[in-house]
Amino acid sequence: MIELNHVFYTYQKTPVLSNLSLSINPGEFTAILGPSGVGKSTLVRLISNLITPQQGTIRINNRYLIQSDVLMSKKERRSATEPIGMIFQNFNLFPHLNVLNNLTLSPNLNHEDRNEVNKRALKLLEDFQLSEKSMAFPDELSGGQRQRVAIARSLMLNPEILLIDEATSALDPERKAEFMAILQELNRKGMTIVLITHDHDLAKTYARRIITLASGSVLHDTSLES
Amino acid sequence: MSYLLSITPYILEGFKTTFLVFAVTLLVSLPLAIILATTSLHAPRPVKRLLSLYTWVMRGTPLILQLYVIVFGLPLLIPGFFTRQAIIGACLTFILNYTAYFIEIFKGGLITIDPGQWEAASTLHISRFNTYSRIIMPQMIRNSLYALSNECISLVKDTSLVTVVGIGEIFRNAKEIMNRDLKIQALFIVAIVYLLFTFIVIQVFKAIEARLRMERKSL
Repeated sequence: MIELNHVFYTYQKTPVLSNLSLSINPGEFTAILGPSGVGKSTLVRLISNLITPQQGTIRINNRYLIQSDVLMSKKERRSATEPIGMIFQNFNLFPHLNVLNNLTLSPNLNHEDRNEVNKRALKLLEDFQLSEKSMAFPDELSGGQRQRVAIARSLMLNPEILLIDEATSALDPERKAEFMAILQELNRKGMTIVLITHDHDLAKTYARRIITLASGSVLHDTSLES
Repeated sequence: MSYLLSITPYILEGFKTTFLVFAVTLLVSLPLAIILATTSLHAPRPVKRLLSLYTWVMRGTPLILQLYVIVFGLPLLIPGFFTRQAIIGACLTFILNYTAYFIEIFKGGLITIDPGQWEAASTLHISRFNTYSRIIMPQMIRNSLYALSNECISLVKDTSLVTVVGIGEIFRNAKEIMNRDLKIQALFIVAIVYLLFTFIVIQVFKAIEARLRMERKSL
């Protein structure tokens, strides 16, 4: 579960998020909509601990990530974001590592059993039809392949919540549909999906809840479940 | 031909010093510059300013001037400060000078790294230290390889400057022979030695680049 309460975020003296409050329940497929500059990416960056709000509270699965007027340690904040995985617009694969190493780097650095990590990575690559590309480097992959590597990499840490920051905007319709099908499948298995997008049609087609932002706070919060 | 063969051993005797200055400078400056360039990213402003001042002074003044100041000038300015041998002062000067250039090269390599790499590492719960060492630094070094090779070639040639502080190396030995015999053939031998040395440096960097490309293809 993700909870934001009375969150304010200012960037270089410009207010981006103003008194934003929302909560996302486990297992939801939520799209965050809004025009460019409204604070959608800021929202996911706050949730994933990439930036810090000036005010407000953020909780993830009942653990505080940010508490008003309470200084939290880096360790506490990092611990709160453990359930979270994120996929970026440009995927941000590590260009100097092959596909397999992109997937296994984080678990190996966190001292997980190397054999298990490798097995898990190879299984994910098989699930995403990337087995033959395990030794390829990101610049040798097509856009669709990079997209699947990015998803596989984030799944290596067994996240409960997946944040997707405009990752579909640069994709052609076929790749977009492929990507969204993967997200739907993950959601069916219980993963909470938060999709940042400016594409209304995409949101209506795949999400079960749409939160529209405007002027730094929630304008509409619509459930699409019948 | 017999003349050339007779003067070559003495000239090559000076190559030991040439190589010593080159090797010591590289072995100390490169790791130092890597550390300073990466830590300067998130260092407090006063530290960044100090580093900028240092690189400005080192790159803004001639190496020959720096050699004079450190080898001859510092012992006069600072009581008790001395370099037992000029070679130590010369190596120190080269280290200070080339560290500054390498810092700027590595900073250039850092700037070209997509900021998203940091964000990806953070969301994958990779620690700051591991982000630097496993993600940022390898990319920084790869991005800097071409500029580094140019700087190393400059270093090969700059080693000849130690002659101004009285240190015998290949160029000075050639000059002695030239002055003694009033012939310039010695300079041609020096030119050949420098050309061979720079050729080796170029080949080493080509091998590093090839190795990096092979790692991508052979796996």
